[in-house]
Amino acid sequence: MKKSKAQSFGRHMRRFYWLYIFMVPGLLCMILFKFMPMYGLQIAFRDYSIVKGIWGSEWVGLKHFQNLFKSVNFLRVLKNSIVTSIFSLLWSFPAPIILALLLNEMKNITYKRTIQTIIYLPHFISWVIVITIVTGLLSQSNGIINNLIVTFGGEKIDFLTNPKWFRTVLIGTQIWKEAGWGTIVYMAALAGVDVQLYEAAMIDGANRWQRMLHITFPCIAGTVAIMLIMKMGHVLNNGFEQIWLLMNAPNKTVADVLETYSYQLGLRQGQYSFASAIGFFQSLVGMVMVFVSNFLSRRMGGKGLW
Amino acid sequence: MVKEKTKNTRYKTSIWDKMFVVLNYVFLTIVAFIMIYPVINVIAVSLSNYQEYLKSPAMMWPKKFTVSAYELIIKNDKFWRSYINTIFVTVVHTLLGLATNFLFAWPMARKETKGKGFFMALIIFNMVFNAGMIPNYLNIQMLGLLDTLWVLILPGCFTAFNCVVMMSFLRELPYELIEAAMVDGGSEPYILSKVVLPLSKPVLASVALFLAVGSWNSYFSAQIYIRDSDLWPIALVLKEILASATTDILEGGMDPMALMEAEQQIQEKTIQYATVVVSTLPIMCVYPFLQKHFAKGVMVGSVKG
Repeated sequence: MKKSKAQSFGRHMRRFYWLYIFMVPGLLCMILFKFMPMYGLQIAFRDYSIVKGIWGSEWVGLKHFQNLFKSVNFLRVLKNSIVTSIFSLLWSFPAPIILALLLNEMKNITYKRTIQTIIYLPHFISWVIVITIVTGLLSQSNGIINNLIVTFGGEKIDFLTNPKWFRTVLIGTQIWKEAGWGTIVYMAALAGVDVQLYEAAMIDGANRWQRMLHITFPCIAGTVAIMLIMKMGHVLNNGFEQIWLLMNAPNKTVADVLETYSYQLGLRQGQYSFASAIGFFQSLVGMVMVFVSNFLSRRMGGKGLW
Repeated sequence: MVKEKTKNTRYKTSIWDKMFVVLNYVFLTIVAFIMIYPVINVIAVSLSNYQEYLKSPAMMWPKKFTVSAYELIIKNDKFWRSYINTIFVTVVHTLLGLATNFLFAWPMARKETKGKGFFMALIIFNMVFNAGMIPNYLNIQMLGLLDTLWVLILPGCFTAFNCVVMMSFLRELPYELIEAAMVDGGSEPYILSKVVLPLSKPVLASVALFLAVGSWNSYFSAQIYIRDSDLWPIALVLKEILASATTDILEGGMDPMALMEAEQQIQEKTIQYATVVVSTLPIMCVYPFLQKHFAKGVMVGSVKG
């Protein structure tokens, strides 16, 4: 019995060995850039010094994690990360869903395509450029927005330096850049909805709102769930590039998030172990959030990532 | 499809319904305008005399047309070097990324492959876990990739997302074609290159676009891993230009000295905007051609994924 199993496996390999060879570059990539960094992760549990190297550095257990939660700065930055994520969840996440639903109601195909082409465009512009444009628009010296405010009798607002405005600017630019592109996934889900369902509902006298509530929503709920699960994995990752560019000395108190903080601490000030502990904490929380939300989604009868 | 039906049969449409349709068109038009306006404004300012920009920055068409800002950029060595670096990185990254993901996705889409559960677990792990900035940095250092362009090319080649998009596309291919090729005695590399590859153009186009855009636009890896400014990509050079301007904005008050500085800064502004236009040009040129494909590719990927 055992022998025949081995034999059939051998036959399978002789027949299909190429399939496994195809996977080698991908596996190599994973090993080199995903699994090997895990070896360096141990410095979160050591007092790493460049001279001593990873193995030579002293083992300190959970010291850095304990210090993390005693540090006032860390707790402030952690709070910033979470608050920024919540804002992004409340505003940036629903934006593409709403846009997609509205686009879906458009009957003029040419007009719809034109709008789509335009709203996908900002996604292809890099953060550096988006922030250049935003600073230009919002600047106090000659920004269009502030000029408009003055024309309508208001006073100039220091959008770029006032901590109170930071999150609004951040979320606003996020929506400007990604909301249009984000519709693609939902448009695909909407395209998959059976047209007969709508026709039947229309004959039954359901109005636009009822059709949306009872047909469209349930049909895209699965996609929304998947996007939400992916988003939950990023609760503590707010995106370095955008925030780093918008952050300056006056708004740092609210702008600094875990990624920018650990970058400054680790690579600029050389506190490798402490910064690694922050990174590990971020990853761990992200993973737990993905697993929990995936479990909940499946529990509630919806789709999961796997 | 709905349109056809509504033409033939008359359904009750209330006044609210009509109002919704009108408002919907108006709203989406405004949204589209907000998305495109800054882009047009940047192009217009970059082609204008900066005195005109001082008078009214909200232009949609160049005033006192000039290309002096562009001339300045074109003469700049640093700019050209970073441009060439970025083109090299983007092209190689896109090609390697396509190959890696495609080669991995194909066996995952096949019935015959064994251990798919294990490989899928690897992909999911790849998606949810990240060792963090410092361990990644130490790893890159260990591999000897610091201060080389390869650090911008290799690490992002395999990404779970792109692989999953390709997998879902490949699963939908008509299996009879592959079986027929197998019966004819075609080897696996033959089936892959002669049967599967030609059918996969839409998904290859969309993943190529993801890879190329990501690599063209990112400055983070370069900021961390590359000290030598001769190797910098365009995004990082742009970031440095921008960084110098933001500090100007911070320091600018309202006294005459600052006003003079502001004037200089605005001249910088036309140059900045010209740099922005030149550096986004390649992506903007490719975008309309690929748009058709990526809509199709992503759709297939996301409906099933």
